Amino acid sequence: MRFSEKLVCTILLVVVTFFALGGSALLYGDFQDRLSSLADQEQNRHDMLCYTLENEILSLHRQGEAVTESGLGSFCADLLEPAEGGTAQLAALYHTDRQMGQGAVYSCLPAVWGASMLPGSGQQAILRSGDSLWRVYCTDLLDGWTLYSAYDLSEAFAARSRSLQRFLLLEAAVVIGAAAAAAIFSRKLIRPLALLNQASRRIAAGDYALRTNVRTDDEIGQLSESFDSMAAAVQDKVAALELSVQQREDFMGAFTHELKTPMTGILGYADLLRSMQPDPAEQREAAGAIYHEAHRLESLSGKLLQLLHLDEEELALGPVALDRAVTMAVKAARPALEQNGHARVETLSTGLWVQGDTDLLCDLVLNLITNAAKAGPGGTITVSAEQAGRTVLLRVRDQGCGIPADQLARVTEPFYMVDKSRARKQGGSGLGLALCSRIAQAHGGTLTIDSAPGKGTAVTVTLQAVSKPEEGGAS
Amino acid sequence: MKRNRKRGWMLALCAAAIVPLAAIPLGWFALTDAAMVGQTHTQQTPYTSLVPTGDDYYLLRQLNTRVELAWRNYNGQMYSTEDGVEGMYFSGATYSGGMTYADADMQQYRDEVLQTLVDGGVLPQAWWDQVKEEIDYWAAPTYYSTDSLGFLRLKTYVGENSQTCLLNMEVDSRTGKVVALWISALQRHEIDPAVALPAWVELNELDGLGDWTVPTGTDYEQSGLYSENGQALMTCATGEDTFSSSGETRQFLSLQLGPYTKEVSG
Repeated sequence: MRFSEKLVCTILLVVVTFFALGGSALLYGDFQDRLSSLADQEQNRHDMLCYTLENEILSLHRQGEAVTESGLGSFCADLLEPAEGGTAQLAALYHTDRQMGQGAVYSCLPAVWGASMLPGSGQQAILRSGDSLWRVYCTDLLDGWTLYSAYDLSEAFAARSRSLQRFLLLEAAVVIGAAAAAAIFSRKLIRPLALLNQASRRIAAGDYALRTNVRTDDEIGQLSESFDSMAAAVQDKVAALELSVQQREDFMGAFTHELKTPMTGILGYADLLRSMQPDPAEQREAAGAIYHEAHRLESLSGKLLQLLHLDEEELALGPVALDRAVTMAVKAARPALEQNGHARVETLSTGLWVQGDTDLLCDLVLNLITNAAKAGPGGTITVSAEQAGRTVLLRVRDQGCGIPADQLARVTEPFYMVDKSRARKQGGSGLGLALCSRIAQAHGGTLTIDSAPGKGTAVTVTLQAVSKPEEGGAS
Repeated sequence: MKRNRKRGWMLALCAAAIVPLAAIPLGWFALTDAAMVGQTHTQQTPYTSLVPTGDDYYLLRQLNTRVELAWRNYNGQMYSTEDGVEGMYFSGATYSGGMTYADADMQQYRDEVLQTLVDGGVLPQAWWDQVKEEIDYWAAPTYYSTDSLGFLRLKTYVGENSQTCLLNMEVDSRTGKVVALWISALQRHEIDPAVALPAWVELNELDGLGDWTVPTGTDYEQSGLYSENGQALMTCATGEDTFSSSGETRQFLSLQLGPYTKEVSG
């Protein structure tokens, strides 16, 4: 059963229940008022009958004439002769000496009304005779006479039946109207839900960009808003997953390629040495090439291990003297600097302390200096640091060839190289900046690159500043 | 398919619930009608019966008028038009010399009236039998007189010129109702006023006054019935007859009906 149908059914049940109860109470109240009004009229007529009969009895007494049953019976018959168009009226006159079953002086009451059904003196009762209902009054008169008079209530009941018929017709109209209104209302109310349902199906089918855009100021509007937020989150997540998958695929492709390239060289030179008799110069060249490529493979595997290590383990960070880490890195970078045209490094002593790992920070700076040396052989590399609030900005700037703007976003991807042939010649693996970026992240910081082709590159790493620890606490 | 079937069932159930709910008024009135029919209730403003007075009864009105006119005669105010009583009252003779000798028809009338009293439970049969025996034994003559209001007085003596009256009865000639009876007999017989007087009230059709009670605290507590509405008193008494001139000790029975005001007379 649809929700809208449930809604319509519920509304109809409530409307019908309250309408029927309210109508019943209203009709009942009107009917009681009518019966009460009739009772007043009937009581007056009954009282008039009683008075007339008692007056007749007293009149006979005054005249000294006997009050005979036949005389009083005739008087009753004349008195109760139905008037033209008058309200139907029945009556009976009994004497105390006579039992009810033995007959009355005068009676036109229905025989079905037994003595036990009739009311006592001063009482009234509604009795049924065939299809009609009568209200019977009883009063004891002078000299032991008892008068019953009955008045037809059929018209009151018929009027009530007519009112009831009209009410039932009205009720039917109300039910139909309420059903139509409820159907329209519920359809309008359910429409946003149907939209949500449709949208969820389409999103499940892959249309992640779809939004419901239901703008109502109620719970459904809030639900739609939440649904749209959820859809956006799902879209972002899916996009991130897709990107991740793409990156993983790229990584695997690049990794395979980077493995294959040195291995090809190694295999080639090894085959040359195995199958030919090269002269000593060629042998040295082949051995040198094999050494170079093997060294590159070792470097590659070392950096890959470092990356994996960073991904898998939680770092234990502590206060690190930034100058110390930079000094260690500069010292470690000396061979690379000599290899790249004896590039010169300028370091500015800052005295800053950061929250980090000394070895990783040393690797970070070493990689950045090495990259800078490769970018501009013979140039000057500047390593500086400054504190901005609770952050330390460590910056390595070179005066090299720079990075094109369209490739800036990808240089931190593993194995991505702006100029692959040059990088390989220089022993690059394409993992340096990726490793730097990951180390920065492991320290809760970021790595940003500003570069202009031909003017140089500045790599800035943000680190968390800490105050200088007391003696013995530094690493 | 199953889902559609369930939906159809639910809709049918809803429709089936709406129909009886819509018919609540029918059930309502069926129940209230069933509760209403046959039930007795006290009338909101029950009829209050007329309260009759002595003037509403011919017999009492005649007696009242007789007393009134007799009093006026005594005071010499024989005519009056102020209170509806007018004319002149002539009382009938109360002694045999002034009365008319009753023929057989009149004597039979006397017997019939007395028999009516016996049959009505007013006069004990023993009293009537004894009186009747003496009347027959003595062939007692009966005299009668009538006053101007129509009261017939019948008197039976032991013999002509005798002062021993066996029976003195006053009857309203129009209705035949006895308003006074005096019987003298050789023996006293039992008569219970508590039985005889209500029977007399009924026989005289005065029960419509509805308030005949024993006048407690008066001289008539043991022998009377009083109606405040009718301002009337009925008495029933027996005792030794000291009025007869006979040498024998005789007993009397007296029944009297007349106007009576408790506050004044009691």
